[in-house]
Amino acid sequence: MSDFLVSLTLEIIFLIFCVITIIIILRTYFENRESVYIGLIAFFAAMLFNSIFRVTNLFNITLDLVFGARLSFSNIIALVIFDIQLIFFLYLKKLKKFYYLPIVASFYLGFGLYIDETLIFFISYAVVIGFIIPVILIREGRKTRNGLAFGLGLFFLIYGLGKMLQVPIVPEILRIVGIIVSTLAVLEFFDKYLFHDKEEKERIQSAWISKLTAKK
Amino acid sequence: MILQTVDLVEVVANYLGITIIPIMTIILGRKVILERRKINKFNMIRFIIFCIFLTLSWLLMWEFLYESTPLGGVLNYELVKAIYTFSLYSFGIGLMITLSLVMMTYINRWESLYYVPFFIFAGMFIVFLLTEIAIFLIPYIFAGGVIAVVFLFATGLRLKDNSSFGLAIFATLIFPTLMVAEKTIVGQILSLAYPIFGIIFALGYFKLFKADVVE
Repeated sequence: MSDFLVSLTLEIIFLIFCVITIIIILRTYFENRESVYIGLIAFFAAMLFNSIFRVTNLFNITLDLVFGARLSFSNIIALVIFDIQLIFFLYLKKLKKFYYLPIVASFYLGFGLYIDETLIFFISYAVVIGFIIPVILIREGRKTRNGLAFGLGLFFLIYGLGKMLQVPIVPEILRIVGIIVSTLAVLEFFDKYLFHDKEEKERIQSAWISKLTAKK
Repeated sequence: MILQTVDLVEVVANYLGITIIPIMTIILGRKVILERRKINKFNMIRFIIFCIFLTLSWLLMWEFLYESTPLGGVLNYELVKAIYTFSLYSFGIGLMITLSLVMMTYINRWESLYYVPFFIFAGMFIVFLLTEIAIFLIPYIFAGGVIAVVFLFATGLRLKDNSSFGLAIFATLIFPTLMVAEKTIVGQILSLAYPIFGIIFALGYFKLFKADVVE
C-alpha cells in the first residue's frame, strides 16, 4: 500500500510539473511564435499521456492497447518522444534536409513493431537517441550558451537514465528531477543564472549610460 | 492480325527503347560533365534527370533481357521482373519515382523535403531485406508516380520550366507502359512514343517555353 502511495504521489508530482512546463511553453510560443515550441509542446504532451497511462496502470486499468505484434500506445508515445528529441537536435544544428528523417524512421519502426515481436531496432533507436543526442545537446548548449538546449539535453539524459535503471523508486525520482530541470530550462533559469555573462552585461549597461551622458 | 501487329510493335518498341534510352543517358551525362567544366558548378536538376535516365536504362535492360532474348527462360522472374516485390526491375522503377519526387522538391525549393523520398524508399528496401515484405512498394510506385507527374506538370507550367515539363510528358508516356498497359495497342503506341520524345528531350530540342529557368 505504501509503495502504491509513493508511486502515485511521485507520478502526480511529475504530472503537475509537466502541465506547468506545457503552460510556460505555450505562453512563450504566443510571445515568440517560433515553431520549435510547437515541437516541445508535442513532446511534453506525449510525456503527459505517458504519465496518465502510468497512473491508470497503478489502479490496474490498462489503457495501453496493443496493435499487431508489439505496437502499443505507449510505444507510439515513446517513438514521438524520441522523434521530437531528434528533431530538436536537427533544428539546433540547422540540418534542414534531415527534419523529416525521424518521422520516416519512426513510421518504419512502428511498422516493424506491428509485424514482428522483436524489439532490437526499437531499443537501438532508443539508446542512440536517449544518450547520444542529450550529450550533444548539453555540449552545444554550453558552447553556444543556450540555456534551453542545455536544460533539455540534461532532461533527456536524466529521463533516459531513469528508463534504463531497474532499481525501485530511483527511476521515478530521476523522472521528477528531469522534469524540474526542463521546467527551469523553459523558465530561462539557465540563461539567467548559469550562462549569465556579467562582463557583457556591464559593458552594455556602461555603453548605454555613456550614450545617455553624451546626449546630455 | 491485330495480335500479330501488337507483337511486332512490341518487338520494335523493345529494340527502340533499349537502343535509344542508353544513348539519351550518354548524351545527358555528357551535358552534365560539360556544364560542370564550363561553369565549375554542378547543375543538380540536370544531374537528377541524368540519374532518372540511367535508372530507366537499367530497368529497360532487364526488361529486354527477360522478354526479348533467350535469357528469359533462364532468368528467375522473382529476381528480375516481378513488380509486386523488390526485383531488379521494380527496384529501378521505385528509384526512378524517388528521383522524380526529389526533382519535384528540388525545383520547388522545398529544402526540408529534398531527401524524404530517399528515406522512404530506403526504409522500404530495408524492411524488405529484413522481412521480405514489400507491401508499400506498389502503392508507393503508383502514388509517387501520380504525385511526381502532377507536380512536374504544375511546376513546369508555373515556372515555365522546360526540363520539368518535358520530364512530366516523358513520365506520362512511360509509366503506363512500365506498369499496366504494355500488352495493349495503346501501350504499344506509348512504347514507341516515349523513346522518340525522349531523344528530342535529351538533345535539348524540347523548348516549349522560350526562356529556361535559371538555377
